[in-house]
Amino acid sequence: MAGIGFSLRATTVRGSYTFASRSLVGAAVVCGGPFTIAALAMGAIAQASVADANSIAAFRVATTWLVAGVLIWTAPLQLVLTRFLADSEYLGERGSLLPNLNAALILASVSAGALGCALAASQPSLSLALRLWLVAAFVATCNAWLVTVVLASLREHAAVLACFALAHALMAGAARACGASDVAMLLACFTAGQWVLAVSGLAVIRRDAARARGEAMPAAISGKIAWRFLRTARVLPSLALAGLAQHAGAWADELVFWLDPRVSHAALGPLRASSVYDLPNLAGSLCALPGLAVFVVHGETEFADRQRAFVDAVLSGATLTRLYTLAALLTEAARSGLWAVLRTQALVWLLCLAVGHTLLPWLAGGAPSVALQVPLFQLCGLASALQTVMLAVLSMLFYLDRRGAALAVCSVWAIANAGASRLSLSWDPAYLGTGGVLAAVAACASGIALLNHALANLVRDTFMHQPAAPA
Amino acid sequence: MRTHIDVCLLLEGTYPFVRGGVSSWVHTLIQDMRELNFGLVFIGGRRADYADPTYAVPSNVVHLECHYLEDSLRGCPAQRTRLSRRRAAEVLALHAAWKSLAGRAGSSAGGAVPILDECLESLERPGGVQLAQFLYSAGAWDIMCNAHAELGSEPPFLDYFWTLRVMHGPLFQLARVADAVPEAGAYHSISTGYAGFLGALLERRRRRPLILTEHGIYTKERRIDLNQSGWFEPTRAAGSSGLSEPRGVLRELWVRYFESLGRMAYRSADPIVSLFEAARQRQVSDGAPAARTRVLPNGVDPARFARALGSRGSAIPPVIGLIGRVVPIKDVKTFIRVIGGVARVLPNVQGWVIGSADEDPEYAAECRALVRSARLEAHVVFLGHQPIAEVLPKLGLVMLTSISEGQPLAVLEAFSAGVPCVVTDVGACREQIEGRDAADRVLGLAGRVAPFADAGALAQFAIELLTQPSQWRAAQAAGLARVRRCYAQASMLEAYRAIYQGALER
Repeated sequence: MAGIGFSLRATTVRGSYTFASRSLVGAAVVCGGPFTIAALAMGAIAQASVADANSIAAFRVATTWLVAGVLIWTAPLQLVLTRFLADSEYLGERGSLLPNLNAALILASVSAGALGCALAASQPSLSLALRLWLVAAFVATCNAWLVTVVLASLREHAAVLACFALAHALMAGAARACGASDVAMLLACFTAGQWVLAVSGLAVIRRDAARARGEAMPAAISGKIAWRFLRTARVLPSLALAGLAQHAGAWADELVFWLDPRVSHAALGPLRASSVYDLPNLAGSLCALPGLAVFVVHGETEFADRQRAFVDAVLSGATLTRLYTLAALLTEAARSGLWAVLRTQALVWLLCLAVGHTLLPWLAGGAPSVALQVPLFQLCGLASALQTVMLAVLSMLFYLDRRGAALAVCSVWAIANAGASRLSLSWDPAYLGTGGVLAAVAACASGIALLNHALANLVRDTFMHQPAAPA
Repeated sequence: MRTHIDVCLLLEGTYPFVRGGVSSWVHTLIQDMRELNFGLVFIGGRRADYADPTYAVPSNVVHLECHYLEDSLRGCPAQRTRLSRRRAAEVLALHAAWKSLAGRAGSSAGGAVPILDECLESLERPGGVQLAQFLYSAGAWDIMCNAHAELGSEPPFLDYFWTLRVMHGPLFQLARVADAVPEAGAYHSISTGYAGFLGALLERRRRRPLILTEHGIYTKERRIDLNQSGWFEPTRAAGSSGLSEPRGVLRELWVRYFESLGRMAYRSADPIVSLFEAARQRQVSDGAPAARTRVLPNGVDPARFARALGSRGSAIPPVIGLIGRVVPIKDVKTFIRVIGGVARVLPNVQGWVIGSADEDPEYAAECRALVRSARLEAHVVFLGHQPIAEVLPKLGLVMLTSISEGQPLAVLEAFSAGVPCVVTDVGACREQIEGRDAADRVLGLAGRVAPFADAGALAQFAIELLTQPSQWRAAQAAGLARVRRCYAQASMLEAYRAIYQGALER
C-alpha cells in the first residue's frame, strides 16, 4: 500500500494545505474507489434491469457471498504472490512476474472451480443454471481479484480504477441490454463483467512487463508458467495463514449473523442475508476510508521510509549508536502514524454519531425501519474505525517482517470477531454490534503490544535473528 | 576394532596437505617412530584450499580426520533460545579473567584460573554455553553490546557483529571436535592458534598430556597477516567523524584473540618446545610458564645430503638459490632485487626460486611482473618445487630473504650439502649462521646475516662470498661443522622419543 503513498508523496512534499488535502482525497479515492464503483454499479443494475425486487435482492446477496468467498479463498494466494513479486523485484528478477501470475491464476481457477462444483453439487434445491453461474462467477471473481491485487502492487492505481469502471459499466449495460430478469442472468452479466476486469487488468500488466523489457507491445500472450512463487509459501507459511485469518476475521461477524436464524433469512437457497445486520455493517465500513487514507499518505510512507533508512544503515556499516537513533525514529514514525489514524477515526466516528440518523435512511432508500438500525450502524462504524488502526498495525508488522506476530493479531481478530458476535446475539438486542467493537479492541490491543515489542527490540532482533550461515 | 593411538598430532594448515618445512618435519617424525601409532587431526580454513595430501602418509598413521573452520557457523539454524543470567555472569567473568591475564608474562600466568578450566570443560556441552545461545539469545546480545561499549572507537557495527561471530564459531566447533577425537595416549599440537586451543580442550577433557611444539610464532605471523590484509582499510563508517580509525579496533580484536588462543595452549601444555632461544623467550613473554619451556632445534640427516656434498665440483657456481614457497612472508621480491644488484657486478649470476608458486598465485604473478620490469628474465628462474638434494650441488649460495622465520630447515640442509647461506636477521637465522652458544660460535660464520628487506646489504654479502673463494670455503666448513655438532636430526628425534615416552607414562 505504500506505493500509493509514494506516488502521492510528490504532492504532499509541496507542503501547503491544498496540496495536502488533494493527496488525501486522492488516497481516499484510490482506496475506496473500487468499492464505490462496485456499489454504484449495483445501484445502476437495480435501477436499469427489468428484474423484480426479489431477484435484485437475491442478486445482491449472491454477490456479497461471492465477494466474501473470493476474498477469503484467495487470501493466502494473494499474500504469497505479492510477497514473491516484491522479493523478485528486490532481487532484480524481471521476467518472473507473468509466468508466476499465470500459474497463480490457474491454481486459483482450478481450486475455486473445484470448491464451487463441490458446493453446488450439495445444493440440489437451486436450479442448475443458477448453480452453474454461481460457480462461473466465483471463478471469474477469483481471477479478477488476483489481477487487481497484482495491479495494485505494481502501483497502477489509475489502471485499477479504469478497469473497474470499464468492467462495471459493461456489467450494468449488459444487464440492461439483455433484459436480465432473474438471478441467473444477472449473475451471467456479473461474470462477464469480472472477466472483462481480469482480461483488461492482465493487458495492463503485460504492457508494463513489455515496457520493462524495452519492447513496445507484447507480441503474444505469454504461455509460460512458473510455479516458483509456491516456494514462498513453503518458506513463509505464516504469511499465507495470516492473510487467511485476516480476511476470515473481516467477514466473521457477517457470517455469524447470516448463520443465526433469529436475525437472518434465506435469500437464495443456502445463501442467507441478515436484514438486521447487512445494511448497518456495509454503511459502517465506510468509516474506515478516511483513516485508511490518512495512514496511507502519512503514516505508512514515513514508516516505510524510515524502515528503509534503518536497513540501509545496517548494511552500510553504521555504528551502533546511529542504529539505535534510527530505530527510535522508526518508533516515532509508528507512534505518530497510529495517532494520526486514531485521531481521524475518532473524528469520523463523532461525525457518524452526529449524522447517522439522516445518513442511514438515505443510504437505504427511505425504509422506515431503518431508523431502528442507527445504533447498530454507529457501533459498526466504531468497529470499522478501530479496524483501520488494526490494519495500520498489521501493515507495520509486515514491514518489519514479523509474520508470526501478524498471524497472531489476525488470529485474535478472527476468533474474537466470530466469538464476540456470537455472544452478542445472546444478549439484549441493544448490544448487537458490540461484538465487533470488542473484537476490534482486542485485536488493536494485541497488535499494538506486539508492535511495541518488535520496535523496542528492533536492533537486537535484526542482528540476532539472522541465521549464522546460508542454509 | 579401532587401533589404539599413542600420539595424536593436531595440525593446523600443514601436514599432510601443505608442502613445507613444518610438514616435512612432521613426516620425518612419524616415519622415524615406527613403534608408535599416530593419529592426525587436521584443521584447515576452507575445504577447497586443500585438495589431495601432498605427502604419502606412513603406515603407522592409524587415524586421519579433517575439519574446516568455514563450517564453524553451519548447522545451527535460527532458533529461540535463552542465556540464563548465571551463564551470562559466567561469560562476563571469563572475559574479565582474560583481560587480567593479557600482557602477563609466563610465571604469573601458570597459576590456576578456575573459570578458564570450567570454560574448557563445559563449552558446547549441556552444562555450559552453546553455539545456539551465543548466536541467538538476548543475553548474548547484551554481552556483545557491553563489550562494544568498552571499545575505544565505534567500528561499523555490522563488521563488529560478524567479527565476533566468526571469532567464536571455531571455538564452539573445536569443542565439538574435541569430544569426537579418539582417545590417545598423548596429544601433540604443532602450533598454538586453533590447533593449540583444540589441544587445551583435549588435555582438560581427556586428562591426557598435551605437548606443544612451535616452529614459528603463530601470533606474530597472524599479526603480519592482519596488517597486510586489505579488509581493514579505514573507511568512513556512516555516522562517524572520520577522524578515528574505527576498523583498526577490529584488527586489535583479532590480535588479542590470537594471543588468547596462544595463552590457552601455553596453560595446558607440558613441555612447550621451541626451536631457538629467542623463540623460547617470546613464548615466555606471551604467557608460557618458563619452567615448562625448552629449546629443541630441528635437525637434518647428514646422510641425505652426503651425496649432494660429494658431487660438488671444485668451482663455485654463480647461482644463488632461494628455497621457499613464493609467498609474501618469504619476500621473494627482495630476492629479485638482490639478484638485480648482484647481476650488475657479476653478469653471469643466476637466481633460482625453488619452491611452489601455487599457494599465492597473485603474489607469484607480481613477482614475475617484477622480473620482467627489471629485465632480469635471463637471471631469475622460477623452478617450482624441486627435490632439495638434487638442486643443492648446483647452488653457490642459498639466500633466505624472509621477513619472518622460525628455524628454517633450508639453511641446515644447505649447510649439510656444503652451501653457505646469506640470510635475513629473523628468527633463528642469526643463530644458525653465527652460532648458538660460545662453543658453537668458535666454529665461525657459516654465511652472512643482513637486515630484512635490505637488498643492498644482501647483494653485497652475496658478491663477497661468490667472488672470494677463501671466504666461501671458510663459510662452507663452518656450516658443515655446525650442522654436525648442533643440528643432528638423530638427536632431535631421540629427544622427542623421550618426550613421548614421558607423556605416555604420565
